[in-house]
Amino acid sequence: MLKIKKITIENFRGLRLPVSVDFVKGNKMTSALIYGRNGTGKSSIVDAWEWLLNTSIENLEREGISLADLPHKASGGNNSYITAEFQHSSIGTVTAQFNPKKISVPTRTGEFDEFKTLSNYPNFLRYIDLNEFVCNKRPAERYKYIAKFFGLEKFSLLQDTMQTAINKQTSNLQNLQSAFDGSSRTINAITGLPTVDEATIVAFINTIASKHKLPTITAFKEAGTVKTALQIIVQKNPITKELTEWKAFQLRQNSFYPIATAKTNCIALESLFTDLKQNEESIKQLILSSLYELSIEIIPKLEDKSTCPVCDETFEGDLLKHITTKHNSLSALTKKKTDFEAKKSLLEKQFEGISRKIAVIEAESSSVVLAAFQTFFDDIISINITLPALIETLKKQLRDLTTLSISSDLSIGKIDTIISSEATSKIFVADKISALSKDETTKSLAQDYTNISNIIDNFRSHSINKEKVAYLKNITDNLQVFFNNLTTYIQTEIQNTFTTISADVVDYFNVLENSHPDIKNPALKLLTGKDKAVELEIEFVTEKITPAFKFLSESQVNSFGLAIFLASVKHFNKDFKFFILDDVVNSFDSFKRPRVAKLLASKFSDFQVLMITHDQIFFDTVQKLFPEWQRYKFTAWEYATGPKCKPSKNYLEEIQSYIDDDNPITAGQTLGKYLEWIFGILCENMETPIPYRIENIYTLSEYYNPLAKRFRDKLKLPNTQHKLFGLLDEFETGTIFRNYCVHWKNEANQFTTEEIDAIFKKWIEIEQMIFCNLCKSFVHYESISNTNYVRCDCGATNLLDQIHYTSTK
Amino acid sequence: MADLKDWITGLKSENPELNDFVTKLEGFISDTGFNALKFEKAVEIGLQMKEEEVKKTFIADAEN
Repeated sequence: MLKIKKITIENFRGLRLPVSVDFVKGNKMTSALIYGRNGTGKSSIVDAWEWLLNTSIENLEREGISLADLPHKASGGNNSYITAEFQHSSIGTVTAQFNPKKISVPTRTGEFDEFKTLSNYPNFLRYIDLNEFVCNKRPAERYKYIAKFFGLEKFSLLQDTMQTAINKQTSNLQNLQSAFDGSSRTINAITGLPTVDEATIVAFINTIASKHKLPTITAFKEAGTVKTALQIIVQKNPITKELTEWKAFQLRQNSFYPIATAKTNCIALESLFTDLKQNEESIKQLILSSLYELSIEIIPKLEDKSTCPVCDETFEGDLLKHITTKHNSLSALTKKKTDFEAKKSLLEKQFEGISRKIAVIEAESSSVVLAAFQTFFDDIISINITLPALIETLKKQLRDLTTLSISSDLSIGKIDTIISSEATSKIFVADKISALSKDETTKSLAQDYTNISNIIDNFRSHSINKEKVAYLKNITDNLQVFFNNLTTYIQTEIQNTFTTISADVVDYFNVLENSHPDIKNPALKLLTGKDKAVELEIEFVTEKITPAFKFLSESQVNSFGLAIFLASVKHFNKDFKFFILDDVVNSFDSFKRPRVAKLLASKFSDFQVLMITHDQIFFDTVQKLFPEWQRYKFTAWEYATGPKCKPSKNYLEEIQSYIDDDNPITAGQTLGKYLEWIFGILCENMETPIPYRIENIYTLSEYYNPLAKRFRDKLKLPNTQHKLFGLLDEFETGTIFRNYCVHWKNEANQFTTEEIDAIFKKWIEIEQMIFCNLCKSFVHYESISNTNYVRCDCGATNLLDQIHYTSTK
Repeated sequence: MADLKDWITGLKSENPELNDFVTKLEGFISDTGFNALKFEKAVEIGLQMKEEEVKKTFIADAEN
């Protein structure tokens, strides 16, 4: 079994000086907890871990942050690394160091390959990933996460990239098929026959050859001889020659037109460009749009509506209104930017289309036609010189464009001139053909020559495209079979894996959501008829609800997502029982956060965890429940040094330390805060009635007295004395607790170290009786079928057990 | 975790008719997905070769 001993990171993202997270305490392997406000560099640790595993950081990539930006700026890309030390028979240390010469390939040392074979599955989860997974309205995005959680990332990636290739080749095939069909139709129109084959073509050519007393042919490859012979006859007749040239040009002309004006689109694009450039600073903020959107959903559910969930800063005023205004302003900008990109792409395609048409018509070689349309062809040449530069401009990103003035380009005016001359020029050509066709013999000869030319060109194109279509169809068909097999495999694996872990998912979900008995049986549902679509399903009372997020609160769907992630980790990470949770409790209601800790205690006691949080209460909770964990506080961050990181004590250790230092005032105040917190939890657990206070501020006595009474009421049995009663009596009478309750916040009232120590020790005795170290929960009161229970979550600590009573007889 | 290469080997064994195609396709598959660009170029070359083959059948025509 691979165990992690230490992670050290230097010069990576927000970490400058080396930061070490130790997973060994007193010679024992343990977990670690990191607390720090937003912006203190905590998440750089999970970033570095992901980089160690995958050489990329997906969520940063999505935000456009390149690998070159990973080292701390002051390091210049030097000595930027993460080192993980392990306890294992053959894996000691693994290091990934940023390689400035080849940023996509870090320099790896140690037993990396062996480590990777034991750390194949995703073992880290960020709040942003959890939220994306459960709340994303696109089932395809959820599918990606599920594939990742279930170790199918490479398969899913192959599916994604292959889908793009299939789409492109299918489109190519359609274009080839369309060209093939077009040549078939042209040939059918010329021959008047429904079939297209060499015999039909040869027969048609021979009919014309015979008509003009030319030698007939036996195979298509000889068709050129008839055409050449006919051309000689045509050349001898200047009118026929000119007529054939005009007819050939008419064909080109008909495929050249119509052309849509580009000027209007250019002006609209330039107007949007000017508008967006004036808001360039705001455009940089567009990345926040989705965070604002999420905040608008979250803020009404928050208890503290003055702290911004985006930046964690306090806001004076109506935060929801402020965020909504920001979001609306960004929404309008997003719409404009989307509009700009769409118009830019449309114009680019329009210019490319014009380029293709020009390529066909500029092949004209008839001197008669060129002379008659000299201005037209001069304009075509001029447009053709300018268009590539305009297309290049349109390919640029908004941020890379400093100016945009296409509409004033000469070629745009020339395109409009050509468009306006369409009707006139077509009439001119038609009149020419009509004038030259007055003599039937001439007309017939010209038509025969035109037909021969066209049928040869089209049959060549037909033969080439026929082969190409067959070749490409074979590829796309096989590719599709491969893709279908891949899709079936992934879907089967997802379904099988979920079936395997579903008992754990349900179990973990129930731990997190035990206050909602009507919400149960979370399940994954693959959407039928879609290759890549997964929905989360939940059962409410007896009805199945899909997608679950339509019905559940954000906190509840997050429980669902976390349950799936943890069940996957447990199922897959059998050789390396370690995972990182980065701020995942962020979206949980405050009363639910301790349940995450209890879930880890009850189901993941054999795992090592790196828990990262910016929530002080959750930090205190985890500190209390897992005193054996390593604990760190990131207190501040500076560019030159990175985070200020120091080991942290939990409440009990802190109080003991103040007592040891003979600092009774601070010890008393810390103990007061601790008791306030624990009394609150106990009052809730015991369903203790407390007098309502509108200002929501309670003294210790106001918590403690009803709580003690509640314990006495619920544990009272005839002819016996509960041991807790004795402890409570000693706590109340053997210490100065009553006096302390009233004055603990007042520094002027001096308590001695011995007095605080006595209260502290006595309370610890009580706590040992009412707290279960197995499931990390305090006892709670519940009544099931008229039977009362005062027990912990797992039932190991049951205060109504006889062992807790002494006889009074 | 199931290995991609193992899955491809299994697919070839279960679908022998796909064997040649999948063997060629493997050249475009790696841990980073499907190299669509390289694949497109290969298909383009294949199409070009088909065109050349057909054009060869017109050569006599040109000589005459």
